[in-house]
Amino acid sequence: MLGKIAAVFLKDLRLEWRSRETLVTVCLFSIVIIFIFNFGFDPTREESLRLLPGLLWVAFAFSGVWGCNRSFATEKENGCLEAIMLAPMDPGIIYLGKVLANLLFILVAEMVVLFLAVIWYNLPFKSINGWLLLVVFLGTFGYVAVGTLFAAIAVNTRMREVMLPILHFPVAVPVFIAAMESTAGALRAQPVAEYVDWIRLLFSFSIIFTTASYLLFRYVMEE
Amino acid sequence: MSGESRSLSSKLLLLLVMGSMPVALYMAFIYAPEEASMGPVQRIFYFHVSSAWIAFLAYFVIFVGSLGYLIKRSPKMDSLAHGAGEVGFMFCSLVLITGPLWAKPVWGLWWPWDARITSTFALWLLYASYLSVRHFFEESGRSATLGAVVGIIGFIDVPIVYFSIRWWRTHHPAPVILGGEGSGLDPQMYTALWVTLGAFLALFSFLLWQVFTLRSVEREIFSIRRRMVILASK
Amino acid sequence: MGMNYLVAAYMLIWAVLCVFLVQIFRRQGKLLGELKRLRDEMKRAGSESSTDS
Repeated sequence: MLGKIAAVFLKDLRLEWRSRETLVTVCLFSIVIIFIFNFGFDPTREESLRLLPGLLWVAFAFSGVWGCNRSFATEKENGCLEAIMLAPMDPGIIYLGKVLANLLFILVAEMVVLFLAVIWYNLPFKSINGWLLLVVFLGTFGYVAVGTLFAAIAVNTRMREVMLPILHFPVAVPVFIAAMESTAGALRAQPVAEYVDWIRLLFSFSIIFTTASYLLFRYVMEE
Repeated sequence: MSGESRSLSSKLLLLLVMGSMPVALYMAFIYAPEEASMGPVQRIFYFHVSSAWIAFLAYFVIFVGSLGYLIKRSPKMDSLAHGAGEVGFMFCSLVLITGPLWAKPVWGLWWPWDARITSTFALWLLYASYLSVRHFFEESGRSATLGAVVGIIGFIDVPIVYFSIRWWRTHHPAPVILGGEGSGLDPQMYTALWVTLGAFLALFSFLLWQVFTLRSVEREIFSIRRRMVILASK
Repeated sequence: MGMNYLVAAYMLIWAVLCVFLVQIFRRQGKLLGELKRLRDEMKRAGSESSTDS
């Protein structure tokens, strides 16, 4: 099973490596969002610590939608989805492979954005600590777990770019709350005990929805 | 599909609604004592809270119907889920209408972003996303399956959303809101609430039944049409 | 803020409910009419008219 998941994952990775489209667009999209927000707030350093968690996750959310959509849109355009479904394996495997690929692309883009945000908002580099990375990882995992399932649904409509956030954001509300709260805690280097509950929530959300989506994916794929 | 039994149970439910609604109104307006600090406006409470509970209940019905559809592939289960989606959305909208109507005179704000109003709004968005999936896939014939998937994910999410918003609110000092509805209710107020809730349950069942039959007739028409096309092509 | 406000609020609730009801009944009426029409057509077409579904 792990080998099959890896096969799907590596296939997406190879595809991405050829064009690097998803990575670049997700990254640029986040940067543009943060850049635009800058005009609205023009924050001082103390304010930016307050605003940054929300800002970052809004940027991640919108660019993540694009990343999840891409992973199925390219398959759909080339008629590859039907071909993959012919492979003699559980459709859930495809889901898990896609989750891993999306997770990797979006995480890489997020790391770039995080690095730039530290520079733009004059934060010390040590504010990117291990806990912050864990929060970003778990938040993105939870986000991608549902996003990948819903992208497979939205890809069948003409308005998939708009359909996915409409479907996905209401479900991802707990992820946004928990990720923003714990990002705020980690950026301010507060003791972990103060936001560890939110990290637990992110972890549980990821596990619950990866399992549920894994089980439900076959119904989305059936024709 | 037998027309008689359908209209009989529909009529019985209608009678139940007609009978219980005036009683609920009486309980809410006359029987229940006046709340000391909020005055008569507090009497919105009975319809507001009943609608909210029904809105949460309806998402459970979506879940049952969706799960039933995925397991048994029965069109009835699908109609049940879709019907619960439409009726639940209406009740959830009622909560969001009555909430501000109550909040404005009492707290001076239309929309205090407190835990309850925020989580009800999140529920409303979950309904909206469920219904938009149903709508967008109506023509392709995949509305039932994809709707079931979204309905199940949404239902699992409802309690997580609810509790995460509650925790979020306790982390932020919220504007102090008088006690909350649950605390220190007069026994007579409780009675009035239960009666209203009963009447709303009857109303919910009646509306659900109506929408359910609506969906079934739609399905029947669809299958007849398809058969006619096949006949015409022969 | 007194009783009048409250009554107005309840009227609003009922208005929403009634709009919803009327909408359902109109859709139902339309569909039932169409069903009848389709069934007649099926009968006229002569072939098997069993519409059990």
